[in-house]
Amino acid sequence: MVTKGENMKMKAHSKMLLAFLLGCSYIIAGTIQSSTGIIRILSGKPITSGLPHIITEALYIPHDILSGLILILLGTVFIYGFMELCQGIEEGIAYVYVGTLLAMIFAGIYLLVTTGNILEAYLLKNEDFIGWTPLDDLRPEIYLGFVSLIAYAKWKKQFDVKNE
Amino acid sequence: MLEDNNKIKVALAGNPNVGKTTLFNAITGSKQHVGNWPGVTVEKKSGFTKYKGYDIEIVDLPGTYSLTAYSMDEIVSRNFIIEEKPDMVIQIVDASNLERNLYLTTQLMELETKIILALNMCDLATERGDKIYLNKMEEMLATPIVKTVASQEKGINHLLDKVIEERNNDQHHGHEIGYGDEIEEKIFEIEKILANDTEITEKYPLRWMSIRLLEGDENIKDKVNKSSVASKINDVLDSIDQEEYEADIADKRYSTINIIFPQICTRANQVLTKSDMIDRVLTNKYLGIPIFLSLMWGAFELTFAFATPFMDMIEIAFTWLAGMVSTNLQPAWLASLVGDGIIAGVGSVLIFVPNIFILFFLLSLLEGSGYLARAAFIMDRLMYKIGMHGKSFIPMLMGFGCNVPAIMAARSIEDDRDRLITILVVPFVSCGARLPIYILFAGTFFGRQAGTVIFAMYVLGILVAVASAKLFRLTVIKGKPAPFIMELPPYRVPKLKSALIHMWDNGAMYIKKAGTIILLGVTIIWILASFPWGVEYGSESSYVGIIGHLFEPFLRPLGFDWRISVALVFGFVAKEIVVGSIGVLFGVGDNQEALSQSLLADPGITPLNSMSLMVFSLLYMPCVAAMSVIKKETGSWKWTIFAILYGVAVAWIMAFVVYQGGKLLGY
Repeated sequence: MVTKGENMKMKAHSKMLLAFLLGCSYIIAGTIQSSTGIIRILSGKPITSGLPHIITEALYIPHDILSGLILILLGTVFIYGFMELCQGIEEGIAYVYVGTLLAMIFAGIYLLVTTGNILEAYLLKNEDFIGWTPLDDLRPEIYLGFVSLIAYAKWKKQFDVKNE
Repeated sequence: MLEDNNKIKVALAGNPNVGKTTLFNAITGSKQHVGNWPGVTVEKKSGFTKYKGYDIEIVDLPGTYSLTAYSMDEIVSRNFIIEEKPDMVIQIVDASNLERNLYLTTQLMELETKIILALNMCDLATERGDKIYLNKMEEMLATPIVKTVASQEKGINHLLDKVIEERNNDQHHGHEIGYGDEIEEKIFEIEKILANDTEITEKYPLRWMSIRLLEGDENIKDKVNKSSVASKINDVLDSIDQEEYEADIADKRYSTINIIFPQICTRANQVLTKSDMIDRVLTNKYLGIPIFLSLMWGAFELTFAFATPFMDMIEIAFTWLAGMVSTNLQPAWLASLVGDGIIAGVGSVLIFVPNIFILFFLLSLLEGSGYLARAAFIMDRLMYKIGMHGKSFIPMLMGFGCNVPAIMAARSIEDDRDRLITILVVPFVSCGARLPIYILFAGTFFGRQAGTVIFAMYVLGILVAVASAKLFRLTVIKGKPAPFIMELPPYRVPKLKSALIHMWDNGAMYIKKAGTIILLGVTIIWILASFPWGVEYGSESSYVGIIGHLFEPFLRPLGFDWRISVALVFGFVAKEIVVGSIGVLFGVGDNQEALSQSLLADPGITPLNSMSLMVFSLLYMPCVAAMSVIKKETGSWKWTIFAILYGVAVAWIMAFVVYQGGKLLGY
């Protein structure tokens, strides 16, 4: 039988694990996004072949420096939380909480951008959007944001005000 | 018609950010702007309501922590209560921050005016587990108290009932703090001297005035120095150590609060609130500024990208309108005026309405959440290093919407030099009126990177403002900035209704400008482009061409031809006219897509000089409305003219560096 104390420990471990996994995912995606963005600017043409192309196609990563840096920042917030939780600092949970909120905000931003593109493609029939599908707008901010949303929903109560 | 005795004048006073304006809106049905940071209200505002046969005037005063009158907004509040003598004062007290709010209560009580305490934000206090014993509090403070949740319009009728009850109650609940024998003796001595001056006796409560003099209140000293008892008062004041008296008086007030507080409230022991958790990250020494920049970038990315389909819809409507005009309107000159002038000019401005609405909505969400106050906090260290007051960052952020209220918001800064610096640098912050210029040129020349280019313009505006502040500190306005103390409000889920009202108010102002000053501007440009009679429309021989060529030598080194020069000259009235003028001068009707194509096809306009144009438009001078408010707030033509000339000089140098530097680098 699992005691209350053990249960709390498991919850803390699961948050640490999530913070680590999300932190790494955001940093890796951000690094690829930024570096391919730099390559694109330096070479003056889009990346259409080679390993960078295969990776970015498979993971729906655009070639963009600034949004890549933001992904790295989000990853850093999660890793900060992971490190504090590892050191036994309970307040480290704040980084997991704010990390999930920021992740959801940026997922929301890109979903709204996609909504705008849906209006362009299907309502206004803009010729720039011929052949465009909503899948073309899928990017790490959106799918990693969904993971954060699930984590937030699961731990919402634990993020609530704690009184004694 | 109501008789005079059915009229009640009520002042709303209280600490900053306790919900005064929210309560004001709830009582009067007004739609005054509400923000979640201290200093939103800088001028008093009046509203009216009729209740149970009474005509009640409500005056919303700027927030103040005390009646010490260190800043302009504090002086506005204090003078109103003392000089205009409202029938009573409702002090809005933040129930979740009771202890600190009571300091103002102790001072209001000395003003010998009737007071009602509106215990607001009770929901937050209850949610936190605090318990407030209302009856005990009423008894100890000898003041009527009403619980309210202004944001949910709860307790409003009860509060108004209490206002009427107090109005008809002749008994005054006086309640004085004893300051100890030594100070009380001095208060008595000063009171006796002041009583010899009838003007003072009629206007001011003598005990309150005596205490203020002992505390070294300069504003009150000035008033006394103009009176017949000046020398006697100064003799008394010279005989004491005022700093010590000021500290002792404040100590006595806090001791009184410390005795009262535990008897009227028990506070839940907090471990870690959501606000604390968010602050731990968002105000982190290393992560705070990058997170702030990333959120602002997100806001501009959304402003550009999400608005595009809505811009296209407006464009379709205007294309249809232009078609109707060209086929049905006669004579030809009238069709040209309406098509090439009004629809092209006003249409090219109105097309950006979706961007303006989205930007204001997002800024309102950030403001309502309480995040903008944190932005000021995280920037304080940097701001102090470069010679600016941390509080200056709030007017700068407000400037993203419109520079006019942002310049006025500098009133909340106590130190005159800090305030002057803030007023002078706010016009560099990119306002909503400049956004259409960026969207047009960044969208045309920078494709998918347009959002980033627009964000860069906003960052550049802040950087130039900050660098200018440093320069002013080293040269014309020397000195160190005052220390920055600001209360961080709790984070709140922004109210959708409030955000939509803020968005609509600002968006509607933009539309109104399009229908008035911009319409007038583009009509004048059409006339100048069409005359002298017989010239080719918008050609170099037209009046507009002559004006453009007059300014072209000055602007040519920045990469601007005569048409851009004309647009910039007219843009000083309102920055939106720049895009309106380009729409008229490039003669492509209302169609933004066509305008973009026309700009792309024009050999005189390249990505480099479009960048130079964006930089120049960002910095070159405040619009007429901003200039008039600079004059009003500084009270000086010298500083107003300085702001204009300095702005033009900085804009010219920056645009020159961009254009000539870019050319050297081969762009």
